[in-house]
Amino acid sequence: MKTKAAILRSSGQDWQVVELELDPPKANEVLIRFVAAGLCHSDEHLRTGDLPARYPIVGGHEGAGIIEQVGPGVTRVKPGDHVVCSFIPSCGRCRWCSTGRQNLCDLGATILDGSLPDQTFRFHADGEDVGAMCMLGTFSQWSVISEYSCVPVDPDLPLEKAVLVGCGVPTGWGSAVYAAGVRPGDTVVIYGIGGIGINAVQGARHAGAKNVVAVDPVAFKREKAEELGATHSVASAQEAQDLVTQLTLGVGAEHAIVTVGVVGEEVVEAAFNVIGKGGTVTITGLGGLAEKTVHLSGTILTLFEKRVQGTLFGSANPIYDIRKMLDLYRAGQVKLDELVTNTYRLEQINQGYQDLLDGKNIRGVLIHEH
Amino acid sequence: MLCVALETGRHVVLEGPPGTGKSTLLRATARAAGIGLVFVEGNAELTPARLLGHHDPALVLQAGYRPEAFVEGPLLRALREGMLLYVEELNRVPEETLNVLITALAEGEVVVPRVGTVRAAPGFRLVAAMNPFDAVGTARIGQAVYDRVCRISVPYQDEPGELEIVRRATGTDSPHAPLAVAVARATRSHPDVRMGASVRGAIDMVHLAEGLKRLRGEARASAETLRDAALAAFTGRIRLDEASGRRPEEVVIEILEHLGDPASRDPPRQTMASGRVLEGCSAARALREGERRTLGRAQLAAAHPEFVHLSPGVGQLREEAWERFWHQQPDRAVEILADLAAATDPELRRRARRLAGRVLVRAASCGPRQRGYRRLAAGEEGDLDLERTLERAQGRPRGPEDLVLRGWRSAERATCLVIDQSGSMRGRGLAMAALAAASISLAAAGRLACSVLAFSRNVVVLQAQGQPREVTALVGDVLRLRAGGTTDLALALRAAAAQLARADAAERCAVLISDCLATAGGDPLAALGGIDRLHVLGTGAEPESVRRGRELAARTGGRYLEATGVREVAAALGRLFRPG
Repeated sequence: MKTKAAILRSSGQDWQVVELELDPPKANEVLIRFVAAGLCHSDEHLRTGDLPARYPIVGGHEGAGIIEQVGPGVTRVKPGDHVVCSFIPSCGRCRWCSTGRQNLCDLGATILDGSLPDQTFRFHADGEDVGAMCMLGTFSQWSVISEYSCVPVDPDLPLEKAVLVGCGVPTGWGSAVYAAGVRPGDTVVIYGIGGIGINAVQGARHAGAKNVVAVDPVAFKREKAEELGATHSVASAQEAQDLVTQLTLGVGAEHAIVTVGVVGEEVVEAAFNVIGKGGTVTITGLGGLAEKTVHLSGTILTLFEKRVQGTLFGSANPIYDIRKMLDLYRAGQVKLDELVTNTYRLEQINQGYQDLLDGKNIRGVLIHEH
Repeated sequence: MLCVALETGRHVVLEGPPGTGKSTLLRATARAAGIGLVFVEGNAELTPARLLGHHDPALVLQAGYRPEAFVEGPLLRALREGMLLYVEELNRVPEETLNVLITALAEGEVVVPRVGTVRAAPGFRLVAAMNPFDAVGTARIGQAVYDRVCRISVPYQDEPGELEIVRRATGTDSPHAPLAVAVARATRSHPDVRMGASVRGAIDMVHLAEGLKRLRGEARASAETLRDAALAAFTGRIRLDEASGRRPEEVVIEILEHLGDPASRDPPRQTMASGRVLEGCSAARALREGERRTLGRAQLAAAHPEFVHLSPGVGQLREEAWERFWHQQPDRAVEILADLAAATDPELRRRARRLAGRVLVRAASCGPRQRGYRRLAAGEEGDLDLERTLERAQGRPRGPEDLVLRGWRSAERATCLVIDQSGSMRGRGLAMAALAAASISLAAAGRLACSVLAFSRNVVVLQAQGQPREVTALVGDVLRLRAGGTTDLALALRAAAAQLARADAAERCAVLISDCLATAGGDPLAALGGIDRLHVLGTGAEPESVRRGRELAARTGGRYLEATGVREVAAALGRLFRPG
């Protein structure tokens, strides 16, 4: 079948909306009609080349849609099911899945090549294989994806809101709640308030943090952060350092969470300095793959027992936590409506990313037309 | 700015709190520019006829409708002679009269039956003054008026400015002027005060302090003298926040004490730990926050066995099935409907709210109230409707019974519905409350005389007194409420009294839907001031709940009715509100 999709032909170019050929699903695969896709910074990393991907590739790894057809052997979903996609599949039987670390599933090996687990491609343009970001390609009207990327959700949830819990919300929320393990009474500093950082704010608040300090140069994002639970917001890392010193009487924060768009040496160092003894820096954001972004005093690390750690998908479990986020939304605890700042049509995708870079969006959402 | 606006022929609204010199400014400007000025005091009795003019009934009866029988009103005079029409307190003017003004502003002419068209002579301009914070007896000014005028905001003067005004007004250089001005300014930022005092309060305090000092033979005014002067000058001028539960005397004394100690000249902190009265934007926010909590299909199915039948799929609501159910078991039916109106499924939620609006409004309908024309009875007031009088009496009215009046009296009864949304009010309770809101709103239709509040720890104003809303929108908002929280009955009753105080009515009546078991705040029996009659629809079945409800109702001579189901509530409210 044919589908319209936004693709990158190589790094450094803009998104192009083209018509692609889409193969039917093979074993353990499904055909999904995407209703909505989130504009996440990781796709921008593909465009700039920070993430080493195989081109051409269909963008988009935050998606929600409805299953239209299933291939042989599919048991997790059936046609008509409403699904939120997980940007990392979880097979349930690899070493990581079977030890409670589904965010590290081995099937994730090809998420940047964009092939399906059997190493072949379902998107084609003039006979050439086209990959799908995170094996999803949610910037396409339709896609064929692995059943292991699917998390079925209740059909009464609005998919254009639920789409956010495929990546940004659990990644941010989990960074604070699971990866960092924020405890009641902690002081938490969150660097960078985008689609991830804003949810780290929500998570830190849920975990009972006493002070949730949001750091972002854009005033609109600082206000959003306070709307969603930050107790303080400042424009720069230096202000955060001064504020935390004052708030904790010089002790320092328990946690720093780095969720900036492009992680560099400076922000990691600022985060390392803002935490006190026994504190933890959790790095969720991405930077250039080859770049050395963690450059710190190992002696301080030792003497103050500081910790620096990374986290993927907020160390959350896609199957469990995607649904949990939606349950929390239903109960009025996790805010999703406030996160969607703008919606776009597929043809407006470059505008959407420009708005993201201009700091206008907490989260932009692409609404597909069929 | 005002000079330029007048020079260029713009219409102007001066907006600012009382005592900021709006009238003084306008008079001075008009005098300096040599423009004629027609003054009109805006109030609820300013009818179109009083603004335009009327035919002298005696002359009409004698000689018929002739030009000389017409007595010109201020608007016509200003139009004809190209003068400045100054309307004070514009927001107290009834809507019908505002409409006449809009025509004059928009068309530059007005048409008066049997007089003809009066065109505006060059130089005609409207200047209106209003106090945007005034909530007593005021109506909202429509966009249509705002669209045709320039708005000039007249805020309070700064401290040196106010000192200067006090000096000039009192004609003395009293040593108490700085304190008096400081007290007046402090009342405007005090957390318990809704509407602070203008500089007039400071002027009076200086006069009183000087006078008292002489009378008591003091060389320097004692603290007591200053306190007495401040109490007399300010307690009547400030309007307290209904939630504060304090008396004006306490607040003025607190301000004086703070000012006496220069180290603590920050505004005093609010000491009450109790809830707040939320109105306007904050009420909307409270509703939105509550509305976040929704019910999934699985939860709805678990709570109601009929759910699957009523909503077989996402976004579906079988209205005819629900209607059948409603005829068999109305209470269960509305209980489910209230829950469906809180569904996560946006389409189902929308349908359920629409259905609820329709059904509850239908159930609540008790016939629209007549408004408009009445025949004269002894002791009644209103404008004489010449046309109808002549028509009725075939040209020759013989006695007062033949005179037809156009009703301009204020509503006889102002009603405030007070809905308990604390933990005990789920499902059915909410549906009964929505029905009651519909009933009361319909009974008061068009008469600007009903308000609706919901409360638990805080009070949310769903409909403010004098600002009627569309009934289905109001019902929808009641269904957006989520039960939960403590029950501060005293706060709710005080808030109701404050709403009722805004209405110009002979009887101020409140209807409370509650189990009457207060779990927060003070004694509700002590909070009945300002409510002439409180009717209670009791939702609790326990003896304690019934006893408390009866006690509350009995204290004001109101009735206690058991709200056991929707039909009963509709009937009970019908008895309380049926016209005639």
